[in-house]
Amino acid sequence: MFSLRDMFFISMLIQAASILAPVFIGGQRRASALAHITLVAGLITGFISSFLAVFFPMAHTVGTGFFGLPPEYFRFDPLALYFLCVVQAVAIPTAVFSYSYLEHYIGEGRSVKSLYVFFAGMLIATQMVVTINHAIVFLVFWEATSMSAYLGMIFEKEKKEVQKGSFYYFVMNHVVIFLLYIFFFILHRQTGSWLLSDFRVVTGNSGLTALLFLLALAAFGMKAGFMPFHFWLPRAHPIAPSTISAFLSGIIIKLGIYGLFRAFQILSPAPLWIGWLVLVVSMITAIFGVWYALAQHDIKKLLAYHSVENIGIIGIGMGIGFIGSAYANIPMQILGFGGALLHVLNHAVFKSLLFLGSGVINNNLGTRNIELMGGIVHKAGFFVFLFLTGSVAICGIPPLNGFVSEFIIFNSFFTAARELKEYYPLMMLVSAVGLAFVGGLAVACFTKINAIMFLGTQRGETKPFHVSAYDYISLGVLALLCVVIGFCPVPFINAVNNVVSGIVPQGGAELLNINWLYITVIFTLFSAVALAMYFISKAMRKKFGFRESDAWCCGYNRLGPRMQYTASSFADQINDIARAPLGYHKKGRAGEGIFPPSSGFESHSADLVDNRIIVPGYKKFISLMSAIRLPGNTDIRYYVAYILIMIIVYSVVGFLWH
Amino acid sequence: MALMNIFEGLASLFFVLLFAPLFAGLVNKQKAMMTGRVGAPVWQPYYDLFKLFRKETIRAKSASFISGLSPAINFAAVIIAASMLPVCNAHPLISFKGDIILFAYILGTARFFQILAAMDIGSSFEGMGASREASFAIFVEPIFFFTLGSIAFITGFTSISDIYRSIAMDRMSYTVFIVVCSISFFILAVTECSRMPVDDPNTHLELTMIHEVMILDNSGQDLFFYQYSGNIKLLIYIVLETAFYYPLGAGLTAVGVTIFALNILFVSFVLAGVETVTSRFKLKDMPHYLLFAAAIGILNLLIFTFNK
Amino acid sequence: MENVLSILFCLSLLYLALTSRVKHCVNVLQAQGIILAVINTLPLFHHFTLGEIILPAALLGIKGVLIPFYIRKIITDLDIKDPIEPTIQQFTFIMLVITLMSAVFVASGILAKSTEINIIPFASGFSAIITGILVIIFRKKLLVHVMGFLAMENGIFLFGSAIAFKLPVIIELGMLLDIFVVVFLMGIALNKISTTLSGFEAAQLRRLKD
Repeated sequence: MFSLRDMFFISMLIQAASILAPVFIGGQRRASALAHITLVAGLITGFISSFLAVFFPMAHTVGTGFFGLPPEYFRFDPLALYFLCVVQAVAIPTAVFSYSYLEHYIGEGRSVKSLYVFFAGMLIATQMVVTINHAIVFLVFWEATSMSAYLGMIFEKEKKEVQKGSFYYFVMNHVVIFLLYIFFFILHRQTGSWLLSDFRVVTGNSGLTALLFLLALAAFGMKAGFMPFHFWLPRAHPIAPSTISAFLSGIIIKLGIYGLFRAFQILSPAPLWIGWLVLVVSMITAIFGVWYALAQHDIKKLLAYHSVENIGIIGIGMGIGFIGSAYANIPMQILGFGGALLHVLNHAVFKSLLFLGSGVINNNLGTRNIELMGGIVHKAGFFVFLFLTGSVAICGIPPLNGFVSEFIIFNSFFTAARELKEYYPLMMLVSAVGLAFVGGLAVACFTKINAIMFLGTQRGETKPFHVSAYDYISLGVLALLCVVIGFCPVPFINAVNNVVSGIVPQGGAELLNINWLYITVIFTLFSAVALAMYFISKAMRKKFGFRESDAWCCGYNRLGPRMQYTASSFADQINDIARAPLGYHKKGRAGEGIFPPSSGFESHSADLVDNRIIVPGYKKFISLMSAIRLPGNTDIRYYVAYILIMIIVYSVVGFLWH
Repeated sequence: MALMNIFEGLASLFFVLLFAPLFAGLVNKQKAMMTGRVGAPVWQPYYDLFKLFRKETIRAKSASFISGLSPAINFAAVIIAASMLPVCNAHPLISFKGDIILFAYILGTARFFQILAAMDIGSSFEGMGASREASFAIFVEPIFFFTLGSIAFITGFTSISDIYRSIAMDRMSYTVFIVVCSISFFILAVTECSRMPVDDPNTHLELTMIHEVMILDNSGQDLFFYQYSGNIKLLIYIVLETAFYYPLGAGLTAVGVTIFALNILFVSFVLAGVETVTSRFKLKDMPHYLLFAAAIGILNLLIFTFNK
Repeated sequence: MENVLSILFCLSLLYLALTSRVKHCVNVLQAQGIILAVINTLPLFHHFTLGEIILPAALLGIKGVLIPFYIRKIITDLDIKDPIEPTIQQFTFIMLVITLMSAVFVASGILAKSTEINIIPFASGFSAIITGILVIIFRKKLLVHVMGFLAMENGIFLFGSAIAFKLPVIIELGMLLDIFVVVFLMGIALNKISTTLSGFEAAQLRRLKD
C-alpha cells in the first residue's frame, strides 16, 4: 500500500508528464487530448489520496515515502491537505473544461500548446505551494504559480488590453514576492531554520510580531485581493483565458488565504488590533467589492469583483478568529476560522463554475458585454440551470453551499457577542448587518446578470449556442458539489473541524454543535415542497388549460429585444443610492420634439481606489523613475551591466557588515 | 412533550396558512371603511385565490422554465419561514439555534427567484419592478438584523422563538427599546409586503408599481401561488410584529389567545390606518425612508447599550 | 423618563437630517423645544420651586412658540421654496450623521466611566451639536442654516441637563435670549438680503464681499 506521500509524488509525476505531450506530439488535437487525459489522471490520483486524508483522517498515514527527497521539505498537516484537496477538486473540472476550451482555439487555428503548458504548470506549482515546508522552495513555487498564471494570461498577447491588464498582475506579484522575502528572512534570522514548521517568534516581542503580521497581511492580502490591493483582480481576470481566470479566482487568490493561515500559525496569538484591522478591512472589501460588481457590464470583470467580495467574507471569518485568539477564546477561533475555511472551498467551487460558464458564453457569443446577450435559456436550458446553481450558491441563500459557510460566520458573530460581552454585541451586530447587506447586494447583482444574460430574448446578433459534453461534465460536477455541500454539510464540517483543530490546538466541538441535521432536513423539506408545488401546478395546468401569448405591453404588440430592461437600468437604482463612494456617473440624452433624434443612456462606475490611488500613483512613479537618466537608457546591455554593479555593491556591503 | 411541541408547531403553521388571506381581507375592509367605502367582504381574498386556482394559465412566449419554477419556490420558502413563527408563543415547528439567519435568507431565496421570474418575460414593465424590488431588498436584511437581530445579540438567543420568549417588559429602558424596535420592524414589514408608503397594492399604473408589476404577466396557478405566498408573507411579518408584545399576556390559554387575536386585530387596524393617511413615497425617496428605519434601529441600539 | 425624551430628541434629529422640506424642519425644531421644556420640568416633580419654573416656561415660550412662529413668518413673507437643496446625496449625509452619532455615543460611554454624566442626554446633546453643524455644512438655504444653528443650541441645552452641576438659571435664560436675538437678527438680515439678491443660498453670499 502506498503512503500519502508516495501517492502525492506519483500524482505530481503523472501531471508533470502531461506537459511532455504537447512538446513531443505534433498534432494539436492529439497532443491536447493526450495531455489532458494524463493531467486529469494525475489529478484524480492525487485527489483520491488527499480526499481520503481529509475526510477519513484516521485511516491514512503520511509515511516517509521511498522517493529520495528529505521528508521535512514537505508538510502534510490537515491545513495543507485541506487546501490540496480544494485545489485538486477544482483543478479536475477545470482541466476537463480546458480540453474543450482549447478545442475552440484549435478550431480558430491558433497554437494552444503554450497555453496548455502554462495551465498545467500553474496547477502543479499550486499543489506544490500548499504542501512545501521549506521557505525558499515555497517562494520558488509561489513565483512559479504566479508566473505560469501570468504567461497563460497573456495568451492573446496581441490585444492591447491584455498587455495592459496583465502588467498590473505582474507588478503585483513582484511586490508580493518582495514582501515575502522580507517576511521569511526575518523569520529565518529569528529561528535559524528555513522550515515553515519551525518558524517561531519569541513570545513577548510584540513589536516584531506586529511587524511580521503587517508584512504577512500586506503580502498575502495583496495576493488574495483585499480592498486597497484588489486593483489587479478586475484587470487581470477579464483578459485571461477562462481556464486561467477560473483557476486564478477559484484557487490562486486563496493561496493568499493559505498564507495568512500559515502566518497565523507562526505568529499566534494575534494582537487584538490585527483582528480588528482584518475584520474592518474585510468588511469594506466585501461591501464595496459587491457594490462595484453591480455596476459592471463585463461578465468577467463583474465576477472578478465578486471574488473580491468573497475574499472579504473569508476575511471576516478570519478576523473573528484573530480577535478570538487575542482573547484566547476557543469557540470564536473555531467558528471564525471554520467559516473562513469552508468558504474557501465553497467559493473555489462556485466561482470556478461561474468563470467556466462565462468562458462558454464568451466562446459562443464572442463578447463579454452582458448588455449584448439575452435569451440563452431558450438555446441551452441546462447550461443556464447550472450557471444559476452557481449564482444561487454565491449569493449565500439556501439551499446551497454558500449559505452553509455564511451561517457559520454568522454563528461566530453570535458567539463573539455572547463570549466577550461589553461592546461586542454592538460591534458584532454591525458586522452581521454588513454581511447581510453584502448578501442583499449579491442577490441584486446575480439576478441582474442571470436575467440579462439568459432570460428574455437575444439583444445583439443571434448566434447558435453550443455547449460541449466536456463543458457539461465540468460545470455539472461543480454544480453537484454546490448542492452536496449545501444539503449535506456534515462530512465537510467534520473535515473543516479537523483542519481547525490543527490551527487551534486546544480544539472544541463548536462547529459540530451547530444543528446541521436541521439544515439538511429543512433544505430537503424546502425542495420537496417546491417540487410538490411545481408538479401540482403542472397537473392543474393540464386540467384547467394552458396557453402561451405575447407579454403584456399596454396593448402595444411589437415588443422588441431592444426594449428589454438592460443591466445598466437594472442596477441604476441601487448604484444611485451611493453615487459618491462608487464614483457612479451616468450620461443620458432624451429625444425631444415630434421627431425625436436617437436617445440613449449609459452609466459607468469608477473604482475609487483604482482611480484615485493606483493609477495616479503609478503615473507619478513612472514620471519619477523616468527622471533618472543613466547612460544607455534604452540599451538592455547597459541594464545588465548595472545589475552586475549592484551585485558587486551588495556583496561588498554584506561582506563589510559581517 | 416533544409530541406536544410538534403538534403546536403544526397548529401554528396551519393557522398561518389558513388565516393569511383573511388578514389581507381584514386590512382591505378596514381601509375601505376608513375611506368611506363599503369595501369587499373580508372573505374576498379566499374567493380570489379559489378563482385563480381554477383558471387557465397563460404565459408569455418568451418565458422559460424559471417562470414555472419561481412560484413553487416562493411558496416553499414562505412555508419554511412560516413554520419558524412563534404564533401566540407556541413552540414553532422549526426551531434551532441560528434559525433567525435561515429565516432572513430563505426569504432572500424567494426574492431571488421572484426577481428572475419577473425578468424572464423580457418586458420593460417587469424589469422596472424587478429593479425596484432588488434595490429596496438590499435594506430589508439590515433592518431585520437591527431590530430582531439586535435583541438576539443582546440576549444571546439565536432562535426566533427563544428571542421572543426572552422579551420581558419589566424595565423602562428595555420596554422603550422593544417599542422602538417594533416601530422599525413595522417599516420593514410594510416594505417587505409592499404595502402603502412603499408600494401601493391597488395602483393601476404599471409605471408606479413595484410588487404588482413583477407578476403582471402571471395568471392562473402561477398567480395563485404568488398571491397566496404574498398573503402568507404579510401574516408572517404581522405575527412577528405582534410578537414584540407577547409579554402583554399572549399564551396558549383562553385569555392568551384572545390577547393575541386582539393584538393582530390592532395591527391590522394600524396598517389600514397608515395606508389611509399616507400616500406612496416617491421612488427616489424610498431608500431614505428605509435608511431612516435602519437609523432608528441603530440609534435605539446605541441608546440601549449605553444606558447602563 | 429623561432617557425616553432624549431618545425622542435623537429621533427628531434623524428626521431633521432626513427631511427635504423646510416646513418639516420647523416642526422638528418646535418638537425639540417642547421636549427640552418637558425635560427641564422633570426635576420639578421631585422638588418644586417657583423660581425654577421660569426656565422651562421660557423654553416653551421661546423655543416652542416664538421662534417657530417667527421662522414660519419669514418663510411666508419671503416666499421661500419648500424643498431643501442638499449639496451631497441624502444617503451619504445620513450615513455621515449616523456614523458620527455612533462615535459620539461610544465616546460618551467611555467618558462616563471617569466623569459624572448622564450618558444618554449627554450623547444626545452632543449628537445634536454635530447634526446642526453638518446641516449647516451640507445645505444650501440660509434659512436651513439657521435651523442647524438652532438644533445646535438645543443640543447645548440638553447638554446642560446631562452634567451633574447646575448652571444658574439666569445664565440659561441669558442664553435663551441670546438665541432669540440671533434668530431675530438673521431674519432681518435675510429680509435685507432678499431686497438685494434674489435667492437665499449660502453660495450667493460670496458675491457680497466688498
